[in-house]
Amino acid sequence: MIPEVVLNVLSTGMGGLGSANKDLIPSQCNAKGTHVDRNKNIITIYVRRDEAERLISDFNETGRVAYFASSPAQEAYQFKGQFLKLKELEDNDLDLSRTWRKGLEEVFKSFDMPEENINNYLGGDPDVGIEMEIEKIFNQTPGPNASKEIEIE
Amino acid sequence: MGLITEKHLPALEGLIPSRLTTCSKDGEPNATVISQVWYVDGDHVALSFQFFNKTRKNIQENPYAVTTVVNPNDMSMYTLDLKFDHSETEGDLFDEMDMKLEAIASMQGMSGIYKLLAADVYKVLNIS
Repeated sequence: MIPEVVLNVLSTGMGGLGSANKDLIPSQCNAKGTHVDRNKNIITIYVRRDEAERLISDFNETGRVAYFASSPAQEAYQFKGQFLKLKELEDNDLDLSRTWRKGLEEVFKSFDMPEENINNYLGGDPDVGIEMEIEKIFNQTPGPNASKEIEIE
Repeated sequence: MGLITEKHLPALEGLIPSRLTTCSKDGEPNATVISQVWYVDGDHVALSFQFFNKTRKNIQENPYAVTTVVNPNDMSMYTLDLKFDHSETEGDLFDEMDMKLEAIASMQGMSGIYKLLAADVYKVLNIS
């Protein structure tokens, strides 16, 4: 079971997805929110196909996924695991992504960031989900516990 | 200028942290955040080597990396495909990075803790 301590960052924080192809060339793209199936250790990471083209190809080739999530307060975790499948998005997925986006918009607005800049950073709606089974979680919050593995309950 | 042009420079000032992905020799990707990607010249950037962590281990095994930097003026993003070139442990680049890291550590009350071990210089293969 995904530990309670990481759920908030996983659900509301900024996220980045990482992959590598069979020649060990890495790729990455921004995430646009997640859906968490806590009991099954499965997360669905929302992305845009045009931004994740290389990663999707890598996942089909190698199956290995790294996902980094961090909160504005710099609490951060890395999730490593196995690619399961691409998920066509339904209305509830888009609702989750838009709720995630709205939360971050509020954070950026509190820093007086212009609307146009927020849109540049967060981009448009996702159009596909990357379903991943989590095998390992690492603490990446700066400090003495950085890089330590967090036990999956 | 090479691949890095004027428009990319604000994104290399370290105002917004950058994401970095590397890969082990076994094909396991590792995604993390770094404080700054440093401009070296039109075709090279540098990353600070402060700790022997997973990123550094991966780079020793496999020289390829990818980073995304953010222009703080308009929040536009650039993704740089990188290949490790060499490490510098002295000279102007090393001194400049060391001084800035020490200034940041000092502001955070952690002076002397974040010691720069090397300036790792990467060739920029592509920017998108």
